[in-house]
Amino acid sequence: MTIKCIENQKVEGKYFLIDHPSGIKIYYYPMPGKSKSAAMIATKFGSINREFKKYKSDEWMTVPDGIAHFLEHKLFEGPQGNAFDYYAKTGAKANAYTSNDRTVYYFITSDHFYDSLDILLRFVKHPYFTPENVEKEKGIIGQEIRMYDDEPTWQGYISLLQALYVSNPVRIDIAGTVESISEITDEMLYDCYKVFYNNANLTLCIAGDLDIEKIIEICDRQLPVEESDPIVQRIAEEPHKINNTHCFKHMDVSKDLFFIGIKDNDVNLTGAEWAKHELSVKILQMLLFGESSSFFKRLYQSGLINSDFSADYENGVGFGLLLFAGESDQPEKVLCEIKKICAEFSETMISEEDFRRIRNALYGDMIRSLDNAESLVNKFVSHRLMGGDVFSLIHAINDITVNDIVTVGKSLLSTDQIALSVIKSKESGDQE
Amino acid sequence: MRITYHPIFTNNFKFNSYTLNFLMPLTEENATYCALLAQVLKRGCRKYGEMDQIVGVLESLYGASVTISSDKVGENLSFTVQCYCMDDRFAVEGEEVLGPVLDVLAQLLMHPMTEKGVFRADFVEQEKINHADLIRSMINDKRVYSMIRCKEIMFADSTYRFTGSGTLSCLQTITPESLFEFYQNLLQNSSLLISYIGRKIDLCSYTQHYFPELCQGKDLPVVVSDFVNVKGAKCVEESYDVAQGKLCMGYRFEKDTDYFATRLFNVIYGGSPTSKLFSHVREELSLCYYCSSAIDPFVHSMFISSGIEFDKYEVAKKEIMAQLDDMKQGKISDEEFENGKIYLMDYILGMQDLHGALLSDALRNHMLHITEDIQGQINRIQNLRKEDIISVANCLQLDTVYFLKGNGE
Repeated sequence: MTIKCIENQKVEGKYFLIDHPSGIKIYYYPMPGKSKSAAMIATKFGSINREFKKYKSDEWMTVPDGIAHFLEHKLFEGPQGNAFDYYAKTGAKANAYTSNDRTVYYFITSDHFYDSLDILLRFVKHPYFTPENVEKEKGIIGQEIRMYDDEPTWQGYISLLQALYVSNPVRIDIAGTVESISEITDEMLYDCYKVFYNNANLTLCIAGDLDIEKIIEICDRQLPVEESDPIVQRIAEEPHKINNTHCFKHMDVSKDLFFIGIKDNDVNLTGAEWAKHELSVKILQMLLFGESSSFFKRLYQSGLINSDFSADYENGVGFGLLLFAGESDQPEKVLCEIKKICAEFSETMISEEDFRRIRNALYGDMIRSLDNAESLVNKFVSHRLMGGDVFSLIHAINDITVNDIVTVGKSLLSTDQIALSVIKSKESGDQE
Repeated sequence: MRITYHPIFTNNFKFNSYTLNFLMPLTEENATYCALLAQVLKRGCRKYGEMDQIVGVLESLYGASVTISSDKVGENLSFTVQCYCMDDRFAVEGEEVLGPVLDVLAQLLMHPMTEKGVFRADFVEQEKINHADLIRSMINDKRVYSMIRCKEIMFADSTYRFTGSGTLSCLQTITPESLFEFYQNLLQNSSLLISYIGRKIDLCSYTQHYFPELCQGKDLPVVVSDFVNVKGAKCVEESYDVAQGKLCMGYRFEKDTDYFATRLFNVIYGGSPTSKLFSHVREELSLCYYCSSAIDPFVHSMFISSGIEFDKYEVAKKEIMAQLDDMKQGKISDEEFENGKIYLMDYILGMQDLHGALLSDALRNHMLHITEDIQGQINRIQNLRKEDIISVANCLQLDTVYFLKGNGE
């Protein structure tokens, strides 16, 4: 086992990388003086992982939509009860989530960290699926799916992904459908588990005022050495075109909600390259569409958007998009305004002074995200999935130049990679 | 006006926050005016210009944030003006950050853009439209909306029925003149709590330097309502175009019920992932996707919120009530009781790392006259006995059941 310390004096932070004999990489970020500590374990198994070879076998399997999320729910159960019953004794707040490219389990606690870590690892490493408990879960997840059916913002977002993406499974709802999850069996869950919950596919991130020796002791106890088997999977290749330019749905909302996406095709970057790209897109987005931009001011003053408007860069393994969301009586007009910026984009739109200002703002955000154990482990896991670490963006911010922003702008801001999804109120008509 | 200071000096954070809470009773007018005022003040100030320029200044100051908002706190309203900024020690050129950010905050609050001695008419008109949209959009999230309706029905005779956003009818009557008058009155005649979290500073002199005008006027008392005796529960059902039903229930408890006992009761009953509602109604019986309870100590009430299939209405309601009946009869295991304490103590200790939690704790304690610090709160919880929780359960009276169901049911 090797332990390496990586330090960044400027932000008063450091972390230890523990190359654990079990095959799991453990990252521990000390936070002296803090009350809270957090641990997060993540697997690269999300809704996009649908076709793969079984563990140590040449047999391919295609899984029903929603299975990664289903497995997440089931991993809280053991033969002697639910993980929450154990966490109840430590006071930790535990939870999990599944996204397109990952499943994540975590807890946050002010006391009893080591007992909580023991519970986290024990449950993640000891699946307990039976035909009965799998059947029962279908009811609970069915309710969850129905709850999302009633959420206009989720419906608008997922419809946008379906418009932007032709074959990338990011376009499929993470929880699946009531029909797709009805096909799930305990055997399927075990097959998925063996492939994706192998130690080699797991990352453990820990932050808090803790003792590294004790962390290792628990990992030694709960993480047995496992033989790894490289994951062989097919993820549909995504063409550089979009599926639809427009889509809409009627729901019980007071005003039309719009979701506009510009598809980023530069999505296979990792490590330092990924960090630079991510940062460049964020700076570009804030410069052109942020609250200090002339775009925002013009649209706000004309009443096309209100303070609900947001512009963000969303990305993960194999996908990325600039997302604009808000309320408007004229979503089409908002789309036109965004397209106009895309069409007119040139280096003259970015001044050195504006660039420095936005860089400062992002630097402040980064410092802030290192101040809280929960957000820190979350960032750490996300950055690890992209091949970076918790300091990747801080390194990138020192090196980035106006030219980087211009280059990203020229490739990203294309008027033929843009789609609009609208959740229409009952009052508005069907015509686009 | 009386200013209460609540400083927390610590080097434990990489950023600082400074918050002004102007407190006043919740009324339809106060809620609507405050909500609109928050939006209008954000539009600009004399020194820094309009919104885009102000955001630009804050971006240069390492992404500092300035927020102006109004929130309902029981039957009171807090008009909140707040900033967060990175601590000076991280500034790349060693420049000061806190002072310049406080200046932006002070300019926005004290020196707004005006014309003819009142707020700019174009700002007021546009923000009225935006705010009307916001009030109408409350229907979008049915989970939130169903709870708003439940409270409206339960508190038909109290101003608690209003949300912190106010009403459309009151909004329509507001003019630049009336809003400006309200604003001047707010600065003079509210009760003011100033909280600060961050490295040690002389909080009074910072405040006097940046907000010299906040000095004199009337002090308004905080409202804590009386207990209302329930005469039979109200049951209301309404239909919307939804896939999932929302069941909300409101209970009342007595005014002198111990605050810490109600919090522990809530954790055990429905306020945590190990609560009776979560573990029995959701996990064991799979009756719903979410089912939780929350306490509002200002109005001595508990609210239950759950998402259920339409046809599970009767059985879900019955189970939710059965769990409470169990507690009334003392069916609380030692494990549930101890776990509840651990959960609550963990939460209170963890507040020390979160600006937001520390600030809302400060505001609540200030208004409810709770004097215990974090250690004191922990001690109070440790000393609670099972009987204290059973007696909370026994003083709860069901007031309102609200069910939001689908069309055609």
